[in-house]
Amino acid sequence: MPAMAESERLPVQSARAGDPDAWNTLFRRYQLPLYVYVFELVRHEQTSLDIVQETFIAAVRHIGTLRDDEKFGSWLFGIAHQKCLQRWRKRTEVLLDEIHDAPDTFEESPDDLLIRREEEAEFMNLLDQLPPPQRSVLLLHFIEDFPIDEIARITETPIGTVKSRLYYAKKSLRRLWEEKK
Amino acid sequence: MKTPREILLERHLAKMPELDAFRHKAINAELRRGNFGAIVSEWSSLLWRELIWPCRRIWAALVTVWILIFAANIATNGVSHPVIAKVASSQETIMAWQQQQRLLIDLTGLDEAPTALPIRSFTPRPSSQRSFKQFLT
Repeated sequence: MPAMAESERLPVQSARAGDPDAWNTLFRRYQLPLYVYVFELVRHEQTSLDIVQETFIAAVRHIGTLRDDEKFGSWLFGIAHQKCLQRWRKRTEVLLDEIHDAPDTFEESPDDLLIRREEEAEFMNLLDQLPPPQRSVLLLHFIEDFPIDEIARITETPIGTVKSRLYYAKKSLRRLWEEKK
Repeated sequence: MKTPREILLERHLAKMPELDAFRHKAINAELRRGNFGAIVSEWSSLLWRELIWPCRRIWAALVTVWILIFAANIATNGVSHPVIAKVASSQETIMAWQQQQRLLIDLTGLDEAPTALPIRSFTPRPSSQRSFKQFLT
C-alpha cells in the first residue's frame, strides 16, 4: 500500500505545532485525491472546490482531535466525507443503506484492476452508475487504498456495511463491464 | 494500461492550480488566525496569573461592592436626580457663601459698605509757553 507507507513520513507532528511548511506538504499530498473523491460524489466542480477548501480549514482548526498521526489521510477524507453528507442533506438527497451481507474475505488490491486507455471513459461511466454509498467506498479503495476499518471510520459506517458495499460495488462494476463487452 | 487511481487523478489534473491557491489561502488565513488566538490566550493567562489570582480576595470584594452598587442603582428604578442635586448644591453654596460674607463683615467691623473716594476736580492749567524748538534744544 504506497499511500499508507508514505503517510508515515508525513510531517503531522510539525503541523500540530503550527508549521506552515508542514501543512503545505500535507495538503499538497492530499489535495488532488481529496478533490477527486469529493467531485466523484457531488458531481459539481465549484461545490467540490468549496468542500476541499472547507476541509483544509477544518483540518487546521481541529488537528488536535487527530489521535493517530499515521491516520492523517483517513482523518482528512473523513472530514471531506462529512462535508459531502452535509451538502447532500441540504439537497434532501438521501444516501441509501444496503443491508446485504458480504463475504468476510476481501483482500483484492485496486491495482488488480487494470484498464486500457480506450476503456477509461467507459470505466468512469460505469463508476457513475453505482449508487453513492457504493461509489464512496469504491473511490476510497481506488484512490487511497484505505483498509476496510479506515473506510468505515471515514464514512462512519460499521465495518460489515463497508465490506458489503465494497463487495457489491465491485460485483456491479464487473457485471456492467462484462455487459458492455 | 492504467489503474483506476491513475485514471481518476489524471482526469482532474487541470484543477491543480485552483487547489494550490486554496491550499495557500487556507494555510495563511488559518495559521495567522491561530497565531493571533495564541497571543490573546497567552496575554489573558498572564493577566490572570500576575494580576487577578494573587489578589483574588481583593478582586472578589471589589466585585461584590460593584454588584451591590449596581443592585442599589437598579433598586432606585433608574430615576436619576443629578439636575436636582446640582441645583440644591448650588443653592446651598450660595447660602454658605452669604453666611461667610456676613461673618467676615462682623469680624472686621465693616458694617457699611466702603465709600467711594471723592472725585478730584479737574482745573485746566495754562499750557506751556515753550516752543517746540526750545524743547528740542
